[in-house]
Amino acid sequence: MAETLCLSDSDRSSSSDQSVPSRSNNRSLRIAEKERKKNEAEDSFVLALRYFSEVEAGTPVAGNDELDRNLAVVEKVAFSKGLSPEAISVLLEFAMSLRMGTSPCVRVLKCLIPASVVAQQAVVRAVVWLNVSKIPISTQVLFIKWVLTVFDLIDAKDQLRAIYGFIFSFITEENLCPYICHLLYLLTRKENVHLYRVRKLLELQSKLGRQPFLMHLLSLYKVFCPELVTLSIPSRIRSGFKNYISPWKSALAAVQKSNGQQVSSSISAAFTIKEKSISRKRKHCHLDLPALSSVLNKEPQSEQTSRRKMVPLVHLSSFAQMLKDMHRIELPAQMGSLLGSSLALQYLDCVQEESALLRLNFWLGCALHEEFLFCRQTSEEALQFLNNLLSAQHFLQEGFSSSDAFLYKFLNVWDGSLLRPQILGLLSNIPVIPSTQIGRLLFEPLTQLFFTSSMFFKCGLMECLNNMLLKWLTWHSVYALEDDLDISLNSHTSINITLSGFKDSVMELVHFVGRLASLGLQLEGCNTLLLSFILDFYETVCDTFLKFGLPLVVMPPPGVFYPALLATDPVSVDRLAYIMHRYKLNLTSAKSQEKQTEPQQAFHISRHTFRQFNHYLVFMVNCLWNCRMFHANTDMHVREELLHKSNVPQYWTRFDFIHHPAFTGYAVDFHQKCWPGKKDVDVNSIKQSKPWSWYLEYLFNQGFDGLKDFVHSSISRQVTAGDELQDSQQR
Amino acid sequence: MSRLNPFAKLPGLNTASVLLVESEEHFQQSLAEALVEETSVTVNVRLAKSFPLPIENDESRPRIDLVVFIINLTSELSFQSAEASLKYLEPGYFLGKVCFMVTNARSSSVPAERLDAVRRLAASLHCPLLFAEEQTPQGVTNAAERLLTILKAAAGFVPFTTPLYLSNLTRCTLPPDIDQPSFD
Amino acid sequence: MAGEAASLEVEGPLSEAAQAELLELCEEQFAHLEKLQNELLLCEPHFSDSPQEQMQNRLMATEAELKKRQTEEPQLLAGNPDILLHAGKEEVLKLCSQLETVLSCCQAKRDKLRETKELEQKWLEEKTQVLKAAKNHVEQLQKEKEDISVHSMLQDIKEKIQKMKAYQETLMECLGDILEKHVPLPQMEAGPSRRKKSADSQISQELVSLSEILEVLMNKALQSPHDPYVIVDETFWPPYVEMLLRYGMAVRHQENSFKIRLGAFF
Repeated sequence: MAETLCLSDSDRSSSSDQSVPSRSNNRSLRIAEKERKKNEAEDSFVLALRYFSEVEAGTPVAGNDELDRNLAVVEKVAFSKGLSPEAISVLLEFAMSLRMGTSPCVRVLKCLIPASVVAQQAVVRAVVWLNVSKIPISTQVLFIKWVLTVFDLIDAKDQLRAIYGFIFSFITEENLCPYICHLLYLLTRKENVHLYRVRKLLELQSKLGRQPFLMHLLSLYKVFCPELVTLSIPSRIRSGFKNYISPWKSALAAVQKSNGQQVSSSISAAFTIKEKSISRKRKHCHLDLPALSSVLNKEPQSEQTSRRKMVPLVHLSSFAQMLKDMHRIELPAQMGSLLGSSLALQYLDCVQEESALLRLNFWLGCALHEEFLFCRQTSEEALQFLNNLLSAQHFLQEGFSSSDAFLYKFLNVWDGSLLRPQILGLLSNIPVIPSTQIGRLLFEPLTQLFFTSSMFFKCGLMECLNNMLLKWLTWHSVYALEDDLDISLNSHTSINITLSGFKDSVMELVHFVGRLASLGLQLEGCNTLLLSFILDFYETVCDTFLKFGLPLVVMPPPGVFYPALLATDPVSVDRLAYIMHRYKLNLTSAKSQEKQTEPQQAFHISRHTFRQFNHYLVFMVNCLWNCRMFHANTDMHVREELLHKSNVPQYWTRFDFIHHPAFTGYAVDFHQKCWPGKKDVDVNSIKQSKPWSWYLEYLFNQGFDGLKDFVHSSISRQVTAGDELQDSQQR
Repeated sequence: MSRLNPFAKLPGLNTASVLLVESEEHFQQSLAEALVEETSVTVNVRLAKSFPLPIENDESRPRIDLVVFIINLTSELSFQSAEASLKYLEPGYFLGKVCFMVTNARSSSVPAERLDAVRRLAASLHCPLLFAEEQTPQGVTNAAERLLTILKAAAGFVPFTTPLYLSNLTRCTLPPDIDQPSFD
Repeated sequence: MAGEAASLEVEGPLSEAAQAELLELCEEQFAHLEKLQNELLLCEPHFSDSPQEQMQNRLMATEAELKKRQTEEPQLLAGNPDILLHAGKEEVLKLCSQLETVLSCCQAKRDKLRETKELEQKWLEEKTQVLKAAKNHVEQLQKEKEDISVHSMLQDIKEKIQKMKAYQETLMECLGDILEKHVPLPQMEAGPSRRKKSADSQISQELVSLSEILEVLMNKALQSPHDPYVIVDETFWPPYVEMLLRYGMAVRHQENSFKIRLGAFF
């Protein structure tokens, strides 16, 4: 039966393969016999293997001590060192042929922990047995689960693909269906998608309901052949194949760890693909097993002669070669391997193949969930994995929806420290979230983390949110079309968001950061480092209109503005001045554009924003320039008596350019340079008009460009704050 | 029933006291060691398995500024014990002087319902819920750091902040069902 | 409160007067604290355990705090210039160390940006190369397209057809072999049952093999696609028909259950 399907479904003949398994079994036993001389302990294992390969069908199980003993031996080796490809072939053959009935079959399946790889041939034969012998459904499920677990370890996938139709036929079995769908998902290529298969899946769907496993497979079919699948598929399917809890996973990880190999777990498999294939070959050489390596060696040749002449991505070694073969590159079966290779990413980026991204996304979702969210030990591997993911996202300039979904979950159980740079990096890559969801997905977990964590975490989160905003704004400026309010945020997800929806989300984010910033500054005693990260954020916010073309201006809250203005270090004041200067430019240019455009168009910056800006500006000018700090209608509510009681002379001048705690040092320095002879320093003498302008010049020469811009744009000798106020009322 | 009262005693000079309650006593010790590393204030750490606290220690026990319930998510007992202990606290504690710390949250053997139950409990009491990676030294240090952030506010060391004020910012909220967020 | 006073005390040598003033301040504060503490202990705990009431209490407490905050006035530091100098000095030292962290942070950020820039430049370079290669490829294809003659195209297609035919041939042969080997005619199996031998052989003589059934179905489907149905007569062994229907290789007519057609595999 297997041969039939092999031939009918594949391009090449597989005539020589039929006798391979038995031959390899014999061979492996011969090798094993040699080893016996060296190692007494392995002796019993070899005998056990021989027992399983030679035992007669129908041998009774009950009271069979020999079977028990051999099973125990095999189990011991399997769980300690893992099994060699040959041992797996022998045992799988024994189990699936039901030579001794079902109960040993299950027991053997449960201990099939590969030490390195699994021979494809063995899996193919086992699939054939699936149909021939009368294996109970629960055991069939167990077998398919095993195949899914070791899928990445199967040394080649070509013959498995050749029996695609054969595997597909199991889909009608209701209990097997979810697992078969998963396996098919991993195997499917464009040539496997046929109308009659789509029909079958749709038929199943009408019978079983909209099951996620069917939807996943259908969505992949749809990507390959959109004309065949007319069904509409939601952009995010609720948790797909829930097969991650498999009995072998932890044993497999343990075996690989003790073997010191980085061969399998899907994370490492993804990034060691090259080394892996080399080491695999070496291993086969060492074991002298031509049957298996011939499959491997045959692969590139047969690819060359097949009519499509595809070049597997793994065979590319240089960038130049990729350029040469770009039109005939075949993506690997293991999509995760794409993440680690810069060549693969280049290819992915320029072909924009949706099926590849879909599969990559799917794989990533599983990997993040299994290996990370629910994996206790976080090793170097996880770190490396996330770093690779980050650089891939950075390269492709977009996130993966599965990593976003993972993050939303992970934030709710994060301790705020585990892999912090990576998590914050991923977080800053998430695409725009609709304003109705942003609160519960992002703000709530982040608020709780922010206020209970250290100052450095607060700074890190500020930086992350700044990067997030920058990315959102960049997306907007790249993807937004002028006439079309509908902007697609990301070329591969179907989340469309209107301009006003986008504005709402951005506004929510900015307000949220404003709240965090005000309260954070208060809790941390206006720490300068935190303040500098907050000002970074507002440097992005103040330029939304001019730099990114988004007609939205949001002012910082008082809790950020005043601490920055009254800060004791000149850098913060200078940066605030720069920010105010940019706000002014943005607002004026928005204003003039607003006048030009039709009134009904949704281009409007609220009066409140202008009022708030003017309010800040007046205060700032009064404070730094006019020495009228405690003017009646400011936000400073300090009773006059209290000010008198403080004994501060001329308290209203205390925050001008000369007396501001951030600048007194400069004033004194300037005074000494200006009047070197003078013994007692009276900085008030700088106030005279000549020295004042020199002093300003001196300040500007210290690198305070923000102040310079601010003074030039907002203060000139003619315009006093009073005029500015009137100006604001006119607006 | 004798309850722990947050204001029964005068605060010590430059001292903050924290009570770590954990029925299994796995994490308490290492957390306590990390907590007393703090230098800017004297941190007094008391350990307990559960409430009620033994009466004979009433005299020597300082004023407790923060009660931390450590809940191991892999054990139902751990949660039940914490829940049962809550009634031995004066309600004044729930104005910012209680917090929950969860360990083993990222374990596949944890039923999702248990985490939800802990969350519901913390949310109903308006207390913060922290997650800790208790198996790595870095995780322990970080957990201690975060507790100190809360403790300092609870003991009144942060100017312009009160325990209630901070707890209004940090209290746990019930997360929505985000198996897979869908924007459709 | 206690913390604030204490932190001032720590700093170096203060004049005696200043120290006395500070101590007095501390005493004052502590007396105030004790007074409040006594008041607290005197007042009866009227809290209740019901969550409703706890919520109410929380709300009240929060509102009270809010009110206090709104009416609160800034407090002056001690008047002694010595103390003020010390406080100021402490403040400036704190600022210095904070500025140092800001500096190292900025440097790290700058280095990171530099790295990113280099990376992006490399990517840009690679992308331009990709673009160039793709353009070249397009050009080459276009050139090939122009060069191609009708004759060579015809030849090409003929070759392809030839290949397909050969491939189909092998497929058919293979199918035939397998059917012959694994799905033999019932008469061969019917051997052992001797009792009904006569009746059995009578039927089996008229039976056709599975490959023949398939052939009829395939031919019908290709020759008259508008009516692909084949009438099931006594020459079709019922188990075979059953098998074909069951595995979806054949489909029964909706109205006439004696008619079947090949499943739609194309």
